Amino acid sequence: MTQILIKNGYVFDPLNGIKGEVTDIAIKDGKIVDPRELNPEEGITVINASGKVVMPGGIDIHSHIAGPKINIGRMMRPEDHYTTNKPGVFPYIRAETGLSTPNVFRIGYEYAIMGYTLVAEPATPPVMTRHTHHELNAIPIIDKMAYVVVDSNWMLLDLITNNDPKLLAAYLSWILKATKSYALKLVDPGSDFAWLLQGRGLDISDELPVYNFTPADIIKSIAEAAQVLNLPHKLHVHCNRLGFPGNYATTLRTMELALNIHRVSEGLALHVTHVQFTGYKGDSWSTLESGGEEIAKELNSNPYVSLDLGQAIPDRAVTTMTADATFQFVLYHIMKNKWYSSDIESDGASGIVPYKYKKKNYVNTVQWVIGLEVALLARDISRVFIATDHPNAGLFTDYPLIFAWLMSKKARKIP
Amino acid sequence: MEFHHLGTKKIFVDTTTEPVTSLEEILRILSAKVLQIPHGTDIPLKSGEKRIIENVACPICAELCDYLKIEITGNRIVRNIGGCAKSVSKFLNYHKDRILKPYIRINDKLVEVSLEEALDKAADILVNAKYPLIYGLSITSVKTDEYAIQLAELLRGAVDNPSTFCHGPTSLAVQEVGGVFTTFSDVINLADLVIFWGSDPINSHVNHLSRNIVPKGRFIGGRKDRKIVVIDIRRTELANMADLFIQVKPGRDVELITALRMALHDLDIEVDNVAGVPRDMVYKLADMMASAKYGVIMYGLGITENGVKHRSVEELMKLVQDLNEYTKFAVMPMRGHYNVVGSNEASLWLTGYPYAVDFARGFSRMYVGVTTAMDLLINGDVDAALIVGHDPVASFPRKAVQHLSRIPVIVIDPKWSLTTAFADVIIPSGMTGIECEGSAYRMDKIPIRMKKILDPPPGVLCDYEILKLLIDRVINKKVGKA
Ligand code: SF4
Ligand SMILES: [Zn+2]
Repeated sequence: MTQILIKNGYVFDPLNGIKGEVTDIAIKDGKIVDPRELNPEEGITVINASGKVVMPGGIDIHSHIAGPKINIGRMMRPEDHYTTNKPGVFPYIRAETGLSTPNVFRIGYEYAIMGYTLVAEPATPPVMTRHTHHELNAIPIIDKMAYVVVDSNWMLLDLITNNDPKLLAAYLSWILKATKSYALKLVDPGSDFAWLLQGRGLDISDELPVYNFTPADIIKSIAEAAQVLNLPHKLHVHCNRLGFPGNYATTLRTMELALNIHRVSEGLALHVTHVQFTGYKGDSWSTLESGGEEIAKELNSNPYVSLDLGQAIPDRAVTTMTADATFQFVLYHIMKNKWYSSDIESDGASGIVPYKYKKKNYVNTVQWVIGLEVALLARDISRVFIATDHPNAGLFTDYPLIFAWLMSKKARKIP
Repeated sequence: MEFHHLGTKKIFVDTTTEPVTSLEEILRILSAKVLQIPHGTDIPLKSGEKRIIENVACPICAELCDYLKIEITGNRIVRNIGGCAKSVSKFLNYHKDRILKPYIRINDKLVEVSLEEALDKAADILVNAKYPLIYGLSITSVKTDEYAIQLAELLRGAVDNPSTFCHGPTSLAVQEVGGVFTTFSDVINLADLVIFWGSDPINSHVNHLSRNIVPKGRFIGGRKDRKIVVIDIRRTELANMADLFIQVKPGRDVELITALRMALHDLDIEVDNVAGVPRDMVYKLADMMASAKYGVIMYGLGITENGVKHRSVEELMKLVQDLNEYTKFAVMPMRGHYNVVGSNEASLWLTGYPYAVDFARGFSRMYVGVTTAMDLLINGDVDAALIVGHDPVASFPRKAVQHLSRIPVIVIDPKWSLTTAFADVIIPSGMTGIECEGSAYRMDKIPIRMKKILDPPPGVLCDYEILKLLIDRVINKKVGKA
């Protein structure tokens, strides 16, 4: 029996409306209890938290921590391990390595140090999810979960064609169960199918090859199935045209879809992920501008969507990895360095390219602005999640920087 | 029989009247510690209730056929439907030549001991070693791989798997340039051009063709709609069924790959013959590749282990990257052991490196040619070895094997092998995929569930259970020593 008493901290508990009250928190056998329930005779570990904040563990809604992509990243980037090593401490602390492609131990330890207790791996192709679970199991300390990618799966595309929503919902619920995943994920909906057949991507109203419907139809069908299934996190969407100038319009159209779906279930209908990557205004890289304001406006007027930032971190070397194989092919041409791509069992595809955000690069600076603009202009911050799409726009260990940027004008000044 | 290798010596194979070399003689030549291994010990079979188990995955090669139907009566496997000849033989003979008890070596004899004694002796060997090697993995589940790597880390030793001498160069090429890969289903449904380069699935992955090339796919007909090209140093059986066979000079594939890239980039090839291949043929092949709708190069050790090693694979990766400017093209490394891919994967998520991982400094390092198992043994760098589910004595060079005769060796294996004759401690394990469950990764990285269809012999544990016990003991002994 373990008993812990956290004394005199400023307690924050949004669910119970507690905002910085100085009070004690008692834990008995892994559960929070009334401090009077602790039995002094059985020994209590007391933690003095005076002057400190006591809050629920952080939740990271989108961080690529496990599965085939991050593991290929580790293989592809030995240079990411050099000078990052930390020996283990016998017998229980394991050796750590890697920055943008950290090994499982560094992931668990670093998240725990930041006070995060639950992290979601946001893109696992169904057939690869056994692998994803192997890695999730190997990450120490924190809780983990995964979103399963369902947008370019052939059986699913057939079900959408057949226009049988019940069967579609049943199929999706089977996928969630079989892969032990938490939520459904769409990555550049339909594009991996177009990539597989024709080596190209799609915008939200382009017709898929072979099938005569559009990515918008995929989003709508699956969002409605998620309503029927009453999933807690309904649908996690990485918008079409990610990484292309002008794509903020596609993001707005994706968000608007949340208003048009048939809602039969509580809560938000759609989550739009890493909006920074799909918040580009302008028609070329040289005329690029932030679409952050428009995205924030849509968020403010549309109560059915939430989003996360995909905040770009200046001067950060990253390893981009997405199930958006088309975009990775484009990025490979920009970087002209290493490129890894893989088609995956008629389920989807993926790509990996190393990248570096530069403080003095115009595009990178605009990327930095987009994330911050969205967060600062949003009225309901409970629907805005801080994330870097680790390790795409920055690392999860960069979060304290983002907190500072959002809370302090001084911190936002580029030196 | 006469084999004629282009540019190399002629090799003659003749019948002989000399007596067959005995096992004891072979062991003597290799300077084994024990000349008599108690092989011939089978699990006693009892007939009984008949059961048919479906969708069983085959624990032999990285094709990992997972559609076998296995028929069992009692503990006797009587039928394997769907498996190739190798598979049938492994399943129907699973009970033969099994190690049924733990042993330790006393002088030149293996003596039966309890599991406790064997584990204790093994832990002593490992804790007293300055720099132990753990080798093998890959013929077992990823769970076992994970424990083996943890043990190496605790001991500050080295841990390696067989990619060290098969597809290691594929990993090295990915480290350098990346690559473009694919999976079986995409090949079946889309591939209209399949090039087998330095690989021969007819002999190595017997079901590969009937599974991936012959069937009709969603966007392509069967074999007749796919062009098959074979590139090899000699006319293999596979070459005879190909639409085009290209004979390349041994060890010079990288020149041909470079020439293909030149042809693709419209550069003039000035020589009229590249690595034994006429220039026109190079242009023809480049054209075929660029005009395919979905092309795949399935390559084997003919590319990875042909002298320039990862330079060939690196050039191959660049070739497919270039081809993606024109069309869809990918590679498929024809991996060998059924879970060698899984041992790379587990090693990557735990240590950041796919094989040849060293923990001498407490963190992971990988130096090919230094921390690779073969080099550690040949250079005499390691002072103890733990071999999990492998038979290095049967496949390693003489000098490496000799070192195994000089250092204490622990073997964890279901069956007697040449390596057991070099062991100081032998701990029997159940067979993964038959007696123990777990996961293994197919050659295209798809993880497959390996089933348990029979109980291991009485008192015999699965290898991951043994490693877990060994880890606990090593921790206790090291804490005790400190
Ligand atoms: S091809 Fe390989 S995996 Fe398939 S049955 Fe034969 S040995 Fe087993
Ligand atoms: Zn992401």
